[in-house]
Amino acid sequence: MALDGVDLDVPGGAFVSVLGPSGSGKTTLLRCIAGFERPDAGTVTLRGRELVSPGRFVRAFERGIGIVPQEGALFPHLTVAQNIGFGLVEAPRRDRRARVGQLLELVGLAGLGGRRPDQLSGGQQQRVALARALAPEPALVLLDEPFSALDAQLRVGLREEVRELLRTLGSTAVLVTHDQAEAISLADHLVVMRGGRVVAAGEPREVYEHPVDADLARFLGEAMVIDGAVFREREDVHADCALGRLPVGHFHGGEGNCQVLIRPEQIVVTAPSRDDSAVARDSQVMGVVASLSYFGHDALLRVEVPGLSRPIVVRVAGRKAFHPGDQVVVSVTRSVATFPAATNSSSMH
Amino acid sequence: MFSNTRVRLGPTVTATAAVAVGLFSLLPLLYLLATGVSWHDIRRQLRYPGVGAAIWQTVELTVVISTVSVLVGVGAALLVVRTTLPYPKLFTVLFALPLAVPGFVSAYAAYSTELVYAPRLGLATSFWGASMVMALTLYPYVFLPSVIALRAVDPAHEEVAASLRPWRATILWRVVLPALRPAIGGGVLIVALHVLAEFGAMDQLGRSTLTTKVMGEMLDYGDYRSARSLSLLLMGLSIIVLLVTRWLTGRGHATDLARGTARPPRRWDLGPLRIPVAALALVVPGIAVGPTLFMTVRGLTTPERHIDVDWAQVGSALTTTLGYAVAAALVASVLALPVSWWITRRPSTLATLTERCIWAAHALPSAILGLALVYLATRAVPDLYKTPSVLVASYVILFLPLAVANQRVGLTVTRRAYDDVAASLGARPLRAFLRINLPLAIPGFLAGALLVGLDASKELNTTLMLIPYNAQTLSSQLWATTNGESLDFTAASPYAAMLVLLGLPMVLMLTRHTLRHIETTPAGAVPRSIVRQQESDAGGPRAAHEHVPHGGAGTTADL
Repeated sequence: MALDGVDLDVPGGAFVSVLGPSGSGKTTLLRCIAGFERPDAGTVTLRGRELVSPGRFVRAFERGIGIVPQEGALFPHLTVAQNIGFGLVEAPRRDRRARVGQLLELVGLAGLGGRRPDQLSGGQQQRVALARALAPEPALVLLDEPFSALDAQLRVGLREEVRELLRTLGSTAVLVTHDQAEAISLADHLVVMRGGRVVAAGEPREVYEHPVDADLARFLGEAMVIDGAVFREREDVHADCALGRLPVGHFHGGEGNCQVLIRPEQIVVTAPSRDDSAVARDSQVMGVVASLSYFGHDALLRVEVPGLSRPIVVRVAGRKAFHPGDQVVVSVTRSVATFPAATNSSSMH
Repeated sequence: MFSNTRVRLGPTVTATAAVAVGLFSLLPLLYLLATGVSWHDIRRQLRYPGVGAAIWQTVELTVVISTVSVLVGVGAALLVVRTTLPYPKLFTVLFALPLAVPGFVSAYAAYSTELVYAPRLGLATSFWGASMVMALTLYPYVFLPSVIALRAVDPAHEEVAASLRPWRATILWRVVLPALRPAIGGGVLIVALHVLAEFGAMDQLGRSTLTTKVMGEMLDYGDYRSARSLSLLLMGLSIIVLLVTRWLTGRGHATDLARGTARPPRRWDLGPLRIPVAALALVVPGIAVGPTLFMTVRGLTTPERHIDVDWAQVGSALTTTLGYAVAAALVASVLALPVSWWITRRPSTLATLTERCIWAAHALPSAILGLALVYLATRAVPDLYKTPSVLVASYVILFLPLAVANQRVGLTVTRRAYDDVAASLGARPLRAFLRINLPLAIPGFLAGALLVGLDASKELNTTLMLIPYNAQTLSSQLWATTNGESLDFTAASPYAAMLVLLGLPMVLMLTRHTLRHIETTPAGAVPRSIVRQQESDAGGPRAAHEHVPHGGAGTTADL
């Protein structure tokens, strides 16, 4: 079973990212929307038009949904202009040429219409694939991991560019990806899938900061999960753990043993002040620098903290000088999230 | 909203048609095995001293010819790819040239040359002489895949090996040769199967093998029962060859090697020896095709010819040949279509099995197929026996894999993503097929059809067995002249000329793919592929064939 009870509502003009590890069903979802696959049950509706419903199946070529596949899939025997114009058969020739020229300009490839796809770089190929999908002015554009084959630098630049372009045109778009950074940074609305189900949906910030479980939290970004205990004190909820007594922003499950989720950006390491060697606040503990990896702009510290079997990893600015063996103060800023104590959780990586 | 999406299974029209084609390929052989086997007769055959000698001679010839082909083929490939031999592309074509000449033609030419100029020598008809003649016509089947494999050896592996054990011989032995194993294994398979199946050349060179025995029983004595029993022994040898070459190939696949690396391997500088080595290298294709070319030209121009060429007869043989060849090419292309479409678009165990069936019929010596078709036609549909349809059917079964393999290469170029994109752009399936799939796949289709046609026009064994009464093809006519009153090749020369002309386009097609792997840049200069690599790092043009898979060695999609 590739999809199970998926319910997804995309507002017009929105950019939706569907994020999930491979095998989570995100590609199947996309193929069902596009009409490449026929779901056994369920409905697909586009601008009030039923595409799939019991007894009804509109075929892909009648849907008006554009797609930008992985690696572009440009037709290799057609020129760039012919590729972009492929979906414009109904338009008169002159209009078609004007539209192709306009799209080439839009994706920054003016003048390259006569090239063959194999004469373009990977990034240029993806731009052409986008222009080809946009040419017939589809009601919806599907982006199937379109940046995954590009190298890291090009990827970041191009995805911002594509996002801007789609926003300017007011296109409705669904992006499918397994890249957390990509999904979170581009989306108006983020959907996380796992095992054929939607496990979280909402504004990216909301989903990132209030994950429903520890696995999701780890999947969305670097995170440290340690054992602790939650207790309630009047209105405030706190968690006791090896890093001190921390305020809890969101807690799932009841009081007692729990898992405490701490993001690396919440941890601050400082040298102890000269006059007192003790820690000043509840959310601070003392630690010893075990080792250090220096990267220039920043450095990774591994700090031994009493009560933790493994050192915690902290990113600090490169110019701060720490040395192995140094005593340091480890503080946790902002509130943390807690989850019920691990029964047998499996990682999502 | 959705639950459970899956691809609908169940027999489609394509799958049903493909399985039918697979069965059609195997049918004659199955029929022969099911109804024609007599263990008693096989035991009786083994008691004849001539049969034991023929089996032994077949094994000896297979081993010797395969070994010499590997030595010559790999040596030639090393010269072209790994040394500073001048004009490597020209030499690649020259080394592949023997493929243009059918084995029985070059054997007859070698025999006649000796007969005319050194009648007492008896070299061509000796065991070693015959082995050399055969090896020199067959080594290109090792040479072509070896070129591609050698080009694909990552120079980094060699550099690592050199840093660990700085002896060049060790590097060759431990790094380069293992990389060649798939090419050698695949090449030896083709060479050995040719040796097992060869009738015309063996007969000309006075060698008695299982195939010449089978053909002799049929054509000379009309003893079909003995022919069937002997052909089963031959089948056993083919299976042994398949197993041995499988072991030779090892676990690597030739296709894995056919990609080519960014950095071409380093060439060994021949220095002042370049010219002598080049001259020596010319000797190989010279001996292989020299006699045929020389005797053909001599036969066509000699004033003291014994027989006048009957050009009308030559013309009619040519038309008949082309007619059969075109029919075989068309039928094979049509039958191959469902198989190649099925296996590229919906790969499955059954699809692979179907393709294997088609190759199985190809791997067995053609004499067996001819015998099976004779048997089937005379028993089941006597009206069809000795009609063009049975002969064309035999060509189709023999060369169907060539059509399937080339169509597959063509269809692999057109990926399923293209269908999806075309549909998303509003193209109906027919328009998508006509505008996208067909133009992309057509070079492979044409290459397949052309190879089937060319191979069919040179075929001898099943032609002799199944040719309709009163019909003559180029190969059957040439064969008829080898039993004439004069054996100096004059009578054969017009047919040989036609056959060689038909063979040339095939050589060009087969080498074109290989030629792409030959660098002509002199040692020391920056090869183009590296420049290209740097460009693509900077966002420049990508390598043109980055995700277009190449065809396996020996097939080609380019025209």
